[in-house]
Amino acid sequence: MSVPHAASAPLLQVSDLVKHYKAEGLFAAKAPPVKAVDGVALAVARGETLALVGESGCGKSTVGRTIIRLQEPTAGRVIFDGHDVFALAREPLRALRRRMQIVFQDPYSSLNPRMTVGDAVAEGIEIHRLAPTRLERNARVAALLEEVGLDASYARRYPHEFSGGQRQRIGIARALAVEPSFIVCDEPVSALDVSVQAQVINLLKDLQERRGLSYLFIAHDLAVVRQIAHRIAVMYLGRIVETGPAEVLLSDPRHPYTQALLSAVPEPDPTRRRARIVLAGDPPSPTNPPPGCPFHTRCFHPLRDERCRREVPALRPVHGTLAACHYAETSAIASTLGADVV
Amino acid sequence: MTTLLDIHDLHVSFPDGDGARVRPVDGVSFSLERGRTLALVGESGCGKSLTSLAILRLVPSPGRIDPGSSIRFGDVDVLALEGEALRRIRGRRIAMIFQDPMTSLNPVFNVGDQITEVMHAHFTITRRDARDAAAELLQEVGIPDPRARLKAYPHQLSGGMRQRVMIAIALAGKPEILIADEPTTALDVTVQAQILEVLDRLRESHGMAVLLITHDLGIVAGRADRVAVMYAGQIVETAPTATLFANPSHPYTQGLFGSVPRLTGPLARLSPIAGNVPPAGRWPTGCRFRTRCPVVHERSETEPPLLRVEPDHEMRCWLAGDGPR
Amino acid sequence: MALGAIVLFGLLAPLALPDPAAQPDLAEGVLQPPSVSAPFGTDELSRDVLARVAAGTRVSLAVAGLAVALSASVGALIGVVAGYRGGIVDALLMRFVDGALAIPRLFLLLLILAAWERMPLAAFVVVIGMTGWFGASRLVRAEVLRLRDADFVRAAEALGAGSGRVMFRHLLPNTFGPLLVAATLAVGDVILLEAGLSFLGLGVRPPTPSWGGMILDGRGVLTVAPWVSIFPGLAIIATVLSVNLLGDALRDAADPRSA
Repeated sequence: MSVPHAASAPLLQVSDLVKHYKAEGLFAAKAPPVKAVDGVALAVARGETLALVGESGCGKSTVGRTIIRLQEPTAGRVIFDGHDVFALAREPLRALRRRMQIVFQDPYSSLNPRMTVGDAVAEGIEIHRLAPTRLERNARVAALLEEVGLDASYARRYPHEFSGGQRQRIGIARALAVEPSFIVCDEPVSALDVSVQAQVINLLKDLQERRGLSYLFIAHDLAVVRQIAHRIAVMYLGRIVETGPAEVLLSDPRHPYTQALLSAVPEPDPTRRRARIVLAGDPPSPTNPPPGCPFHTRCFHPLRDERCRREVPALRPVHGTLAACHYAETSAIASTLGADVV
Repeated sequence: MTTLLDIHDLHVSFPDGDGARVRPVDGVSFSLERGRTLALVGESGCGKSLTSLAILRLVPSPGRIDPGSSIRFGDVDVLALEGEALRRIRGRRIAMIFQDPMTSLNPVFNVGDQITEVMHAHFTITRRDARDAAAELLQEVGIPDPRARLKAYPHQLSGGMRQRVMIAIALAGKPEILIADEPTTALDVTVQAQILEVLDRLRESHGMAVLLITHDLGIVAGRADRVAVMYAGQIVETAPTATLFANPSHPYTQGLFGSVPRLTGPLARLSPIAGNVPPAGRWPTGCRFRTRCPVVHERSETEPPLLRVEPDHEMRCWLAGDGPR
Repeated sequence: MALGAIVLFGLLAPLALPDPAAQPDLAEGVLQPPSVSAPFGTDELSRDVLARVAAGTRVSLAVAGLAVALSASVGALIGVVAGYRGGIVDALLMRFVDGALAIPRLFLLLLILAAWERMPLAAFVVVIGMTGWFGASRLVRAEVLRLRDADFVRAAEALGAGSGRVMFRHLLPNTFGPLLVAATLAVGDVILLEAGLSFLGLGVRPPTPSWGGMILDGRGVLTVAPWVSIFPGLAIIATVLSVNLLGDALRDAADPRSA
């Protein structure tokens, strides 16, 4: 996917984002905090999709929710269209919320079971007083439902009458109702069946084009990400380990974790055999991240050494992407994705 | 090729609340061969999980397996078994692993106990021997430091480890057939790769037949010898894996392939199947896919049987009768 | 379920025939045993016991219904605020509730009622209601804690909803199920409570008819005219039983597990 024209400053700029949770339980006072997000920086331009990928526990969902201040951060700065999101008082924050919205992963818990579809979609309209009359409100709701591919008559029905894919569309309509310029898509298709997933991905792409939306697309499935992302950032244990334009990152990844992640994605093509990297062990827990490079305990890079254990690598430009690895100039694997390796 | 399990015309029905019965599994037939993996592929609501439960007679009530169905394990008629005889099959000759290891493992028993429980149920074995065998199994499924792990409780283990434990429990009875119902869906991609590797290795070393139930075509491509695609309670296409991927013929299968995003190859817009899967009981008459099919055949108001596409490749579609595609 | 419905019907029927004739009917005579013209007999003022029991139905159900409605409302309000706000607000409210629950309700009621001589019926209902909301608040708070982190609540917050909107439009409506069940069962409790207090002379005062009051009246003539006390007593039993059955049926209907 070609990168859209970068018009001056990015729409969203995140720097040094940190979110720590206090440990829970009986011995909480002494226990170390859970470092869900440990220093994340990213930027999203107008009309662009930045995908944030990683496995469970890497902190990507937390990043999404903290950026739009659904949760308070521990530290960091988020500048959205010139506004310092974390410094805003209640009223200005509420006004800004129109511009940044979120779509959730679980279609079964993201809609209030006791509200009709129409009321759910209209909620933003009511909160921000975007429709002076009832007639106009209903007209807007109808238009939104149709825009996401649903029948306007669904407004009178309740969520439980709909399938997962339809509920996701309702959630998208709800987010669109306030006319945002930026949407955090928190694993929006992970819980859907394959054919429904494809429908929703196409819908999101069409909406982006039609409305000029920017997305922070959080996912764990790289094949899905490839369909929609202009740029990709890979997270591991609360940090970004590699980021760059989608096609570059997917064809010539430089961080060993990205390479392992790509290698692990099962390709629906029995004739294609590629280097299968199987990582040893389990991902370490965010309560006890290893010192130095967060990935060093499972890293298979031939040049891995003491430095990796001591020093946290910074993101630096390597061959087209930014990678946080001391030895990223030398690729850890001999061949990349396209080659046929037995 | 030894056929271990033969399913013929399996029907599972549930009462629909209005006196009639709904058949979420409606005439399914396939067989499992020793040392081979059959993948049963489909989306939610197609009946694949129920099919696997039916094999072990674990269909939850008020569902039931309808008469006329046949499940034969060697020369044993599984549907005719009762009590002790049925118990001797479950876990011992046919074992099953499930999608969510957290709810499939008993949280109040440690891992070692859950494995040895299976052994004690099916073999006469001393406690010491059972514990030794359990540690060996944990080793085989790739759990480091197996002896120490025997005392661990499920909540102390990660998702990947728990799934390995579940595989170990399944293997404890030394089964000939392993049914894996979406074994990696709840796991991260890197862990998924590990688990699939384990399953492959064990299938080889133990000479089992594996029934792999999944919705992920990527997993099927790498790990299955043969594929059966299910839609609306029926098998709509079946072929060896390479054949199916080279020549997907049923419009639903083609739709699935068109919906799957790929990591390699040219980047194209996804072409999903129109509409939604109708719930069981509201399937169209005749060909069940005809309301969503892009190439509806003129005969589609009559339900098509499985027709031959090419050698060892069948599909439930009238288009097969129109010659090679 | 069917039983509950039948019993509910039985409950409402007496309500449907309001019998204002709780007046002395000298034609019948004093302390007459049950007969065709007076199926429940008459009392010491030759009032038709059946008529009085029927009239008492309305009073008992109204008192219980209103009191429970008050308890449920106040309890729900406190519960949702405590559950959603959390922190110090929650801590303070819940400590208060814990303390209040530690005081036996009957004891508290006896103190209040004995101190206030000619308490009007409305005040009585309010007093019962305001001593009974603590359990409801705990229940609602528990439900709110469960729902508070659900995505649809996050979505509302992301849209800019303030706490008020979140609490009353999103959280509270989703607590109605368990709350309704608890309230129905509480009605049975309050009927018994009111009957007991009326029996002690502290509840509903004459001339307003009440079952408890009738049992009290019949105490003096228990050996010669037991029907004066027995029938109100049976009415209490039947009503509380049917309310409890209704509550159980509601609970079963709300439980997704019972198919």
